Order: sequence, then structure tokens, then C-alpha cells
Amino acid sequence: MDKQIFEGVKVADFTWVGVGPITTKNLADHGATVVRIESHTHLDTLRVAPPFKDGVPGVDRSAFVADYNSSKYGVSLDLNKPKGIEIARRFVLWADVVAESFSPKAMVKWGLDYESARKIKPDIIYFSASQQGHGGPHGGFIGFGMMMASLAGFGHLTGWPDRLPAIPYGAYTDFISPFYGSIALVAALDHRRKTGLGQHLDLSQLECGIQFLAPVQLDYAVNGREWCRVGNRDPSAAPHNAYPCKGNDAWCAIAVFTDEEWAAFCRVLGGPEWTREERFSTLRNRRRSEEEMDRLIGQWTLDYTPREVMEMMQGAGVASGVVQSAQDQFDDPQVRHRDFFQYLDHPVIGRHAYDGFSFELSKTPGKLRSAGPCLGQHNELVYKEILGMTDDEIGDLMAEGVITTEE
Amino acid sequence: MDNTTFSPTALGSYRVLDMTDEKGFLCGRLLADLGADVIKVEPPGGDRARGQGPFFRGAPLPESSMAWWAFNVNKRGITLNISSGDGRKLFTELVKGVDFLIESFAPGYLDGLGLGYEALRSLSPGLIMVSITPFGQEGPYARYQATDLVLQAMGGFMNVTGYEDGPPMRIGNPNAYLHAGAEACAAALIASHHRAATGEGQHVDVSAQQCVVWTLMESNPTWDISRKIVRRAGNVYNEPSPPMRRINHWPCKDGQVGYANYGGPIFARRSERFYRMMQEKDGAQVDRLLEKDWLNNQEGQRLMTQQDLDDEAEVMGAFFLRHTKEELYDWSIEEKFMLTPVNTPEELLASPQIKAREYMVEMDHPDLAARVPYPGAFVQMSETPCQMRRKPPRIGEHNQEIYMGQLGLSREELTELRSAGVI
Repeated sequence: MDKQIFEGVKVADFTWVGVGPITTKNLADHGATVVRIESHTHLDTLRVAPPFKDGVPGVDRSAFVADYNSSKYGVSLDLNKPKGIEIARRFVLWADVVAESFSPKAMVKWGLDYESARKIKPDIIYFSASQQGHGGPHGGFIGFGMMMASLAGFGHLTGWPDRLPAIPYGAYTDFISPFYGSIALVAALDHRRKTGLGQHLDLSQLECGIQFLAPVQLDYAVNGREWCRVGNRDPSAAPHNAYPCKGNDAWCAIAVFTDEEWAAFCRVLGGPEWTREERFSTLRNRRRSEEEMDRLIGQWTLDYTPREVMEMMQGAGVASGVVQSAQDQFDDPQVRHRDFFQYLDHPVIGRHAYDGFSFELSKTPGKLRSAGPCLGQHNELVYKEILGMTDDEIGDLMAEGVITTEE
Repeated sequence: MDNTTFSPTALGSYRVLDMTDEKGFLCGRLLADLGADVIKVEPPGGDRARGQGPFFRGAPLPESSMAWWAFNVNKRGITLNISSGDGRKLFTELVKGVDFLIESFAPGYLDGLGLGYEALRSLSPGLIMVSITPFGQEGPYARYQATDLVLQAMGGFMNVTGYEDGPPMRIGNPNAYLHAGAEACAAALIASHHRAATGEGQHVDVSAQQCVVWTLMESNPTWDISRKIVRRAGNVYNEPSPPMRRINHWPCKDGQVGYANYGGPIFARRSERFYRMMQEKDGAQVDRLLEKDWLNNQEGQRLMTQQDLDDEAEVMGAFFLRHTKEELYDWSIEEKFMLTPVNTPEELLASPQIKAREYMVEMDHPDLAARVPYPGAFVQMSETPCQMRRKPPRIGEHNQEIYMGQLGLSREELTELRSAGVI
């Protein structure tokens, strides 16, 4: 196989959970040598989060944590022991990039903050991922993506206005921030190549999230208009919703923006009487009678599977798509065509699916090289080959609990 | 590429031609924030997306679309009709002078004009061409029509968002193409790293559908190894394996707050502190909660039961209803507890953290005699800070500067092209 893009780029990865590991995964899957430094005494939360192999919990059994750590080496190290800090500093010396998501206070305590790191390695690129950024009154806030999605304003915008907000699925800002993080890291590598200078990158999950809400924020700041949740509605489109179809929890989304699309939509339905009524004749009229229109459309869609509705609509040039479950996602012919899910052999979980690439590079495609590591899986390899330790040294450090092991 | 002059921005030496519509605006904006010179190309008369609200002071005019501004700030702007012969010639001249070309036309459109990647590569071997489309350049759905709603459906996000008793839902503002824009920018820079080493450009093919799939957290692995489907459940997170219903959004006195207890070392001490505080504040009956072993009642360890969560919900839920978002968030900050308000736009802007980090940046819009606050740097970089340098361009604002100044056209030629509808 051809050389991968980031071959030779070395990353000491002290991050955990979502944002940090996905940020460094983007480098690892393109060839960077990423060593994830974890410990048995302070487990990555995702190691104890399902889904587990056979439904049985265990630090090496979660497919969730594995997914975000493909192509990386995994070592275990206790940073609360002085010798652990010493070893961590040796990783800093080795690395081009240090990535961390601890509280700023902890990194200073350990002597692993940016100022300390650059004394060890003057051109280090030091990436900090946190909830609300460093500094400021809420700089040390500990939390996770669901909370930042609430704080940024995604929660307020999801669901019906007369009900509690629905959760935008998952830890939503965890899936915005990592791509911003990777952008910053690669830009910093480019700058270092040109100037020899490293730097500190301070990524706030909240601020990344607000980027996506920029029009909403501008509308408030300029016009004083507060957006609220509106279900699936859109001021420029009707129909614009998910409609019930034949099957269990089976739905198809349909979006009609222009009059031409409305005419095409009506033809697909066979031009029933109601579509010719005055109250549905224009976008504004349809918006005013949206609830009744959605009910009538739902009566029609119920006779077909979501895929049948999608294919009929798309055949007429109307934007439409199956509301896909995870199972549908794996069966989706387009997702399969692009080989999105990549299958890797995990020492404990066995062969399982990883999120692959949303983008294809024509000359130097990325490649997931190995499954997410078990905790400490590469201790011997990394401590010997990267840090040059002997078997005896490694044995002693294990006995002292500096290199952590399962009790 | 001339890298001999160093700029204080990370990407100050790069030039970008941005041919995108709303599917790709964000990609160019991020490159521009990092210092690249991004030239936004619109058809004569402006992008169709300028018809999209919200509008400045509510005026539905092309020069007032804040949806357009939000993701085109920091760029220069020109107009060009590439479907005309003269337009194509100008386009190839422009392409020769740039490091990145970003586009979001339907797959095959540029090929049809003789301007596809293969043709452009022969003009400029180092060119990185980034194509952003709903489903990618090829494959069975490549020609399908898509909108944000359709991509949130096909990407699986809607299936797990919404109420149990209602249809799947998207977030109320369009997000799918923003995921695509951010990933496209990451991909462009990854390709650029390769070019720096080899001089070789390439074509980057981004699928917005798959960018949405990337947001699905453990939903896909859960199907893959457990054959279980995560179901949407409104304000409750409905975990399939092991089955558990965990409330995420809670009503409080004046709105909602976000909080979820997963137990274990991260939560146990914090929960204990918060329970005690609840007791102090207004005598909440927390003894039953303090007796629980939250340290070992950790998610995934099968020790935490639905009963534990229900017991907590009973006490917490009542406490939240007695207090405002602001009170609860203040206490959360004080006690290092993990709770946040479900903010409205107004409440977010009032955040002292946003202010302290000077996140919002006011830009002058002299033509409207206004200053407009934009969300600013997406990351704080100590050596090469992101910069908000230019307000979003008016339609064709930099035509002269670029066609005359950079391509060396004469004023007569420019006038001629304008009357021919090329620019």
C-alpha cells in the first residue's frame, strides 16, 4: 500500500470520551502514529459504556470506545504517580502533537500543560479539547456533549413548541467539534512546516456548536427574533415532514419547496381531489393548512413502504428519503457503495463495524489499519520501541502500578 | 505555491476558489477564518441561497440574507456565469491561480462543461478540488434530490430524534450541510498535507449523508454487535442495551435544564455534593439518594437500575421545578455538577463565558450602517489566531479587484463581459 498522508506524524493522545479521540482518529486513519495514553485507575467513560460484546460489560468489550480509536496504539499509565508523569513527559518529547482533554488545573498540577510541554519540546502542537474552552468563569466546566448541545441552543430547537424539547440525538456537539479539531491540528502542522513554530490550540465544544447556529444567533442579535422549535417545519417548504409508511416505525421524509415540486408531488399521488383544493394551492396556503395536509399525505404514504415512497418521489424529482434506522444504514446501497462501514478484527469483540470516511481522497485514501486498542494492549511495543525501555524496566513499572494493569 | 512569505495566520499563503451553494459555504468560511484568501463565486445576480432568511431587519433582499452572511463572512466575492464559453475561459484562468477549488454542483455537472477534475488537473496538477454533494459523486443515490430534511432522514439522525408517539424529527435549523462543510474542510487540509510533501493535488468527494451518519454515536455499533435499535423518546434517552430510560431534558421553573446521571467515579462525588446542596437549599428529601452507591452503580456495570434513576428523578424533578435555569446553572458551576440550561438564543448570548472569551465578533457593514455580531473563531490558536477580517461580500463586490487586478483584464473587457451576462 502507498504511504499514508500523515505517516511520520506522532501524536501523544491523552484525551478521552468523544471529541479528543475522534479528532486524533482523523489523523490516525490517515497514517499518523497515535498513542492513546489511558489508565485502569481513571477509565475512559466510553470503556464502560454499551454496546458490549455479548452484552457483558468489560473495559475491552465496548464497541463504542473501539469505534473512535481505530488505527491507534493503546498504553496504560498512571498520571497520579510521579514516575507516570516522567513517562508522560517522555511521550511529549517524542511527539509532534499532544492532545488532551483534562481540566486545565490537572495538567498544570502534572506539569503537562502547554507551557511545561513547550519547555520539553519547543515546537510542540498542543491540542486542548474542553467543554467551554480555557479561561473565563466557566472554563473548568466538566460535562459532556448533551449538555453543550443544550447550552448552545440545539435542545431549544428540537421538538414541538408545546412540549418539552426532544433530545437532539446523542452528545450532539461531540460530533461537530472533532472535525473542527482536526482542521485546527492540520492547519497548525502546516504552519509548523512553514515556520518551525508549534502552538496551543484551545477548542471549546460550546463554541464549535454555536458555529452551526450562526443564522439563529444573527437573527436574535440583529432582529431580536427568538427561534423556537417547530417540529420538522420549514418556512420555505410544505410538505416538509416525515410521513408514516407501511411497516413498524417506518417513515419517509418528503420536502417540497417550489410550485413545480408541488405539481410533481401531486402527480405521484395520482392527483387526488384534495390536492386541487384552494387551501393547498400555494406554499403560503399549504403552510396555513399544514396539519391537515400532513394528515392527508400520511393516509397515502401508509400504503407503501418508505423505500417505495422515496423511489416514487425521487423518480418525479421530488426530494425524499427513507428515515433510516441503524439497521437500514448498514443495508443502504449508497452507504455500501462508498464502503462507509469498515470491518476490523478486535481482540475481544471480534470482527465489527467502524465509522469510516465521509470523504474519499482520490490519490491517498485513508485506511483504518487496526481496531480500537484494548486497554494497555500495546504497552510492550510502545514502551520498548517508542520510549526505548527494557523488559526489566517495563516489568518494574508494572509491579509499581505506574504502567497500570487489571488488578 | 509561494511559501516564502510567512503570515500570522495558519493558511495565509493559500488561495481558494469557492463555487459552492449552501451545501458547501462553511468549508470556505473555515479556510478563510484560518487566513486563506477565499474567493466566493456567485452566478450573476447572486446565489439562490441569498433568498434564504433570516434577513437583516427582516428585509427579504439578496444583500440582507443573514443565512448567507453567516457562512460567507471573511470571503471576497465575484460573479461568473460558467455555463457561457467566456465564463468557462475565465474560470480556468481563476483555477490556475488557486490551491483549492470547492464546489457543490450536482455530480457530473462540471464534467459536462468540460471543467471536471480530470480537465482541471491537467491545467493545475497541484489543485485540490473538493466536491460536496448530498450522497457523493457516484453510487445508486448519487443523482437523488436532497435537502437538509432528507439527509437527516437518510443519515439516520431523525430516526433517533423526536417523540416516541410522533414522527422522527430533525433539529429546527438545517445542519446536514454544515457537517459536510466542516468535514470537507478537514479533508481539504489533509489533502494539502500530502501536496506539501509531494506537490500532488487530488479530488476530494464528500457525501453529506455520511457526514450525518457520523453523528449517530453508539446507535450504529449497537445494531452491529447487539442487533438492537435505539428508539427516540423525546426528552428521555432510551438506551437499548441494557434497557434503561434516562431523562436528559427536565422541566424547571422557567424552562428546561439538561442533566443525566451515568454514575461511576465521574458522577458519584458530584451527585453527592449536589444532593446535599438540594437539602440545604430547600430541604429536599435526599436521604434515599445519598444511600445509593452511585460510585459502583455505574452505567454499563449493570448495577445501576431503572429504580435508581426513577428514585433520583422523583426528587430531582421536583427540585428543578422549584428553581430557575439560572439558579440551577449557577449552582451547577459552584458544585462542579453536570447540569446546563436548555438555552434560548438570548440566554446564550448573555453567557459570561462567551463574553469572557470574546467569542462573538462585531463586523462593520458600512453599506447598511450597522455592526453585526458574528460567532467568531472556532478555535483559539496561540500563534495563528483565526481572524474575522472581512464582512460578507456584496454580489460581485470584488469583480474589479480580481478580474482586473489579478487576471489583468481591462476595464473595457470587464464592461463587455458584464453586458454579455458573463459576470
